Amino acid sequence: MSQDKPAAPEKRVEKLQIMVADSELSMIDDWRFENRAASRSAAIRSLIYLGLELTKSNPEQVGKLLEQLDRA
Amino acid sequence: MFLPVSASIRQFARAVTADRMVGDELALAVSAEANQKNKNGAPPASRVEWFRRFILRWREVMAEEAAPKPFSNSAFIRSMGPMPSEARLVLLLSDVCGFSAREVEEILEPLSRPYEVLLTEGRSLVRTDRGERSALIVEDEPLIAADLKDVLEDMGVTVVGLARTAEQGARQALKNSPDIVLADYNLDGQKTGVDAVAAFHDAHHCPVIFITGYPDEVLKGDEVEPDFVIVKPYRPEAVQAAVAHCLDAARYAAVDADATAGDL
Repeated sequence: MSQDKPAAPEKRVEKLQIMVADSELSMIDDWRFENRAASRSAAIRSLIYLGLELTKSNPEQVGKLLEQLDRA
Repeated sequence: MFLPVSASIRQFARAVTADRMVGDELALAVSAEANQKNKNGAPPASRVEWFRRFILRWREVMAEEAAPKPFSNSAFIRSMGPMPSEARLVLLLSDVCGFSAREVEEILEPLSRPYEVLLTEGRSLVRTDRGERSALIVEDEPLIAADLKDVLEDMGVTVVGLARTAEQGARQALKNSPDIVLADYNLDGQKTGVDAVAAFHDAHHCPVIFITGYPDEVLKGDEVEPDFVIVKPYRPEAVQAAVAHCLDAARYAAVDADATAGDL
């Protein structure tokens, strides 16, 4: 008699790789320590949260900032 | 045989950086910069024009005087360090990417010296003394494996292993720690060269060049896409140029400065 295999647990975490310059990593780490984030990953998650929230609350400013970044 | 344009640019950038992830990011960043600058213009009409705009924009970004804005494409591109010398670009475009003399002249216009001079200088980089460098070949066709061995030994690279299966390849890579691996993408049977590489790449990281007769199947842009691909039937100079550049990639600026007039 065959037994059904238990369903594989849902994957809940994705590991992402990002590439940043050394100087940019220092900026992230400075932000991390100033804001007492538990880890680099936590700091980056917080920064992403801030970016997403700002996009919702102030899309115009976000648009301008992105334009500046593209033109940099 | 040519790859599609976007895959060609990715391959070129991977070749320059000898790293799949960094190369892809560089290709995207420079392409984005080039598109940004050419927003209202016509898209490139040919593969040569794509490459011309790509390299032109890369040069412009490198030459900008103002410090780049952090987290911008320019900042990423500039953090890659200097571009390859003109001679090395000629070598990569001619021997690895397969462009003709006229096409290379058009892409890199204006060349500082005649194409032939730069190509000779570029090819001399292949023969630069790199000390003892070793390679592993993972190939199930004995004739091709023997030919690749000759091609590598001709440029002074020692072949420390010839593997015919993915398992043998992984074992030999861990045992011999080669500086570079050449792997057939389509090994006989179930496993591919990608499986062979996946089995050792965490323990022994080195550049891997895949050789395939079916680049369209291989370069689909998905997760298992191999790092760097040479299309079968390969030309020996393509293999040599790719191997030489991969071995130099981390320090090509220093190699170029020693071996050439430092022309960029």
